[in-house]
Amino acid sequence: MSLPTALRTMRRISDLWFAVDRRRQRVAVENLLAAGLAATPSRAREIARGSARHFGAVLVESLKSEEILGGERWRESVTLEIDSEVMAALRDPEVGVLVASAHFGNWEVAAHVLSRFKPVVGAVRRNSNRHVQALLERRKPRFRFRLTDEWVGDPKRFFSILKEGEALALLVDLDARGRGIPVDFFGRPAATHTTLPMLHLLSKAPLTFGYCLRTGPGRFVVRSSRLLSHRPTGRREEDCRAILETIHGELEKAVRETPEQYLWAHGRWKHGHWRPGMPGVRRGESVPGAAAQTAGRRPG
Amino acid sequence: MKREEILERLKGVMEEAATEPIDWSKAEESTPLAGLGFDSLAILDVLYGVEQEFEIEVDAEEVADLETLGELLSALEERIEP
Repeated sequence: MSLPTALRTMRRISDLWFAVDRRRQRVAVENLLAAGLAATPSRAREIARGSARHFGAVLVESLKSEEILGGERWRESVTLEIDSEVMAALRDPEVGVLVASAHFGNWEVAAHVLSRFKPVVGAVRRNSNRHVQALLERRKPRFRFRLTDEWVGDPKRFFSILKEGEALALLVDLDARGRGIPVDFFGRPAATHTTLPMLHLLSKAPLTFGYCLRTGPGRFVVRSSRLLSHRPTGRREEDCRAILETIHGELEKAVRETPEQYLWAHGRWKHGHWRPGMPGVRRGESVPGAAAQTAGRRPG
Repeated sequence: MKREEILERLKGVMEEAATEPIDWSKAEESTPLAGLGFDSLAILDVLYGVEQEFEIEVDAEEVADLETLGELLSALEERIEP
């Protein structure tokens, strides 16, 4: 199936899914309203539908990435807007680089493109949908981009990747549930893993926020923040928060420009009211003080 | 710095990083770090504290998979100037 046909087909599937999956539609609409990106529920639904269509296109373009990006074709498909210091680090085989990204745009295309300059290892969480997971596992590794299990049961491998001068890419906008620290994101606390800042602080590898936006069918722009290097203060949680707030600030700025390319239909803010020392929060469990903290805001 | 002094300061670092109180009465050098409540993520917090407390840089790749209190203590002893 050609790319245009596959994209048209997926758009119809995405619209159907959006109409049928009322729970995710509700989560997306509530998140958009709470983020202040839509003044009305109908505008929020419009963006949420755009987001569903976008992620359908992401799936298609990821599966067809060899066709779009293989060989030298990527140079015609992708515009690079990468900070010069980040590019220098990517071109230096001795320097490991931490790349923070998010469920925004097409992060797999970003990794594939970056792998043109430096081998990239993406730390990923297994998809909760077993059909999607099976589909993703059937793909072969692209160029110098490979995946590793996100679970930090073996942090040594992450440090080894960076020591080898490779790039380690992590998605920062996963709900940290019972672990992590609350980080402000669109005006609400979001429970965020501290793995990324801790890897940065201990490996001393430079860090950047990178993302890839769709600009048309099979067309992309890859962008990065400036290169970040945080000096430890001796206060671990403060250091982690400072790094994560910088990254989330870059993400929020980018999402505001292109909100339909962000994954709104997930519970990013579900456990934002969790604090260290509190019991782990499970679905439906109430947390002391949570009502006061989230007064006037919808859960996401 | 003597091993005993390193251990006392390391205990302070670990207590700071721990999310639950540590029962040191049951801890020996052969005690697994996991048995003291430190999973792979919490170990990173300890390594951060070690760097700050002892003013050293640890090779995180070498140290991240140490399993026991004694192994961590020995690794620090090698890196800290006497």
